[in-house]
Amino acid sequence: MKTNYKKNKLQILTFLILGAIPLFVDSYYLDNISYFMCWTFISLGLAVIWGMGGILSFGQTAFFGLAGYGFSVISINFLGVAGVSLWSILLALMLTGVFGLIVGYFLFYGGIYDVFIGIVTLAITLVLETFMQQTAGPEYTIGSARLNGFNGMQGMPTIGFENIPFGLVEGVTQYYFILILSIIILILLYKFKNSKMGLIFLASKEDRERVSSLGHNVQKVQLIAFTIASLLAGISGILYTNWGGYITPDSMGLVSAALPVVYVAASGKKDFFSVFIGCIFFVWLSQTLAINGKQFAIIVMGLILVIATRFFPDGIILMLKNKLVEKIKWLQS
Amino acid sequence: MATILETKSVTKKFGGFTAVDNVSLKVDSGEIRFVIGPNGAGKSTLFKLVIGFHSPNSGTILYKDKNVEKLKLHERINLGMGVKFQAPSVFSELTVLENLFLANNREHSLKINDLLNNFALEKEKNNLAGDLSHGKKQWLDIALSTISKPDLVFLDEPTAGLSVDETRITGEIVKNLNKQGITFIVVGHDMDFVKQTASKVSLLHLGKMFIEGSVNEVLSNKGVNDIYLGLS
Repeated sequence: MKTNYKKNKLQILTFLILGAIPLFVDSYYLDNISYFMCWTFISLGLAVIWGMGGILSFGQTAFFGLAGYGFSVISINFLGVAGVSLWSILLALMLTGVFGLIVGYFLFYGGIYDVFIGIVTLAITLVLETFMQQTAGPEYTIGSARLNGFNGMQGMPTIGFENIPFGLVEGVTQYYFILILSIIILILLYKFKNSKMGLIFLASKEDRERVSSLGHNVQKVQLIAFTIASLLAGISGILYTNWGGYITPDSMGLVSAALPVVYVAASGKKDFFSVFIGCIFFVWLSQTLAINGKQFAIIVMGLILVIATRFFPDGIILMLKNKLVEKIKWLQS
Repeated sequence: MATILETKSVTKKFGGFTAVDNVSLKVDSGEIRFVIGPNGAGKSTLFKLVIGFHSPNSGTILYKDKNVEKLKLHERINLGMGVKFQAPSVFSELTVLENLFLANNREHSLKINDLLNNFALEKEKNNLAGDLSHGKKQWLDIALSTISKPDLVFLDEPTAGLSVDETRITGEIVKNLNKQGITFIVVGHDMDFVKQTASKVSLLHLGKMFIEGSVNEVLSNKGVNDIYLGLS
């Protein structure tokens, strides 16, 4: 299917603006925007399984944490070896993908569906959090990396590309690294959505048995989509760990598991672009509110979820996007 | 004609209730076989046993001489079957064309444009399937089950909720597709549709095979009238 660039004017314009941002803001704000963008991948993953396939999973946070910890352990162990960070990313993603595949296999081939997927995935997330909290002792050391329990892991090297100017993924490089990755992931997700497999997954949300009765292996497609979502959550986990230089068990807690659901529901779970923009906005909002107290921010996020569910079931950002395109004719042509 | 589907002494019980009782059915390629009977006769249960929705308590199900009991629904479909369930089950959030694209699984499938014309869906091809009328949903559902040009298609109550004219057109479409090589097994009890379309009829009563034969043989049987009038 050929890409119709005219239909994507808003998306292209948005990414051009995002691309120009480093020219206008200082490094503090740029790092903050990078942080907001770190969360877009986990939300896009949720948009895949929930928005497309109707499967509400709280497991995204487990994959986020697993990738973050995996990246930390691998990169600390191979500190100083040329090109290590890229291998750390790939190995951490492989670990996350395999875990996603195993969890997804037991879910879909075990006949677990609907609300029970939410319960099981939330349980997995909380079990992982509880386990990581109890790893403070010196016996929880993998190679030269200590897991550190509640305090989390620190001291992992920054992702870097050898022999390239601005090769370290921090500051401006980090910003463009995440932005370019976002564009690539969005293009791939739209390709997935427009593929036959995407159509099967989309249709499975309405009627799994009917899709099977058309000769499609629904469980296999759901497993693939779930694994894609887990990998996207893993990308977020790695970028988050790289951004802050730390990862703690809190990143797999109840609040962390619920927030992506708010971002995606309030943005518009059926539209990847809205989820991308909405996630940046809502993470910013959540962080800004958190300055006045973390609990306060959580309450407001909960309120946003309730309002979005009741009054904007298709998502606030998607509604605004549609209104914008409706008002500005240039965007339609 | 080669036998395309055979059930041998198939029984299905739900708790203490026997929905299908020792039913043997043999359908040859090229037939339009109707399985009729009053409500609760076991027609839809038999249909669901054959496609793999339920597992039989006893008996054998052969498709093209192959035992298919251990195969999942999608695996049976991929052997060359098509299915249309009782309630129209189209994908309401997809367009008519996307529905057909989704259902199109084989290389030698029917042409989408021909199907759109036959089922009068041409004008609505870019509309969401959820916005179609009940009759058009039924037709789209039949189109979904036949687009891959399967060897055997099951239609469960394909004319439920259709007008007399729509029923007649459906009959013509089924006969036309049959000429193109598709064998049909149709569950229903619209007698006008049966008379117009069927090449052979099997009547189930209280889960058992009561009679099999041509349309005239079955409908002229005194016991059949009694069954439909609730006298036996």
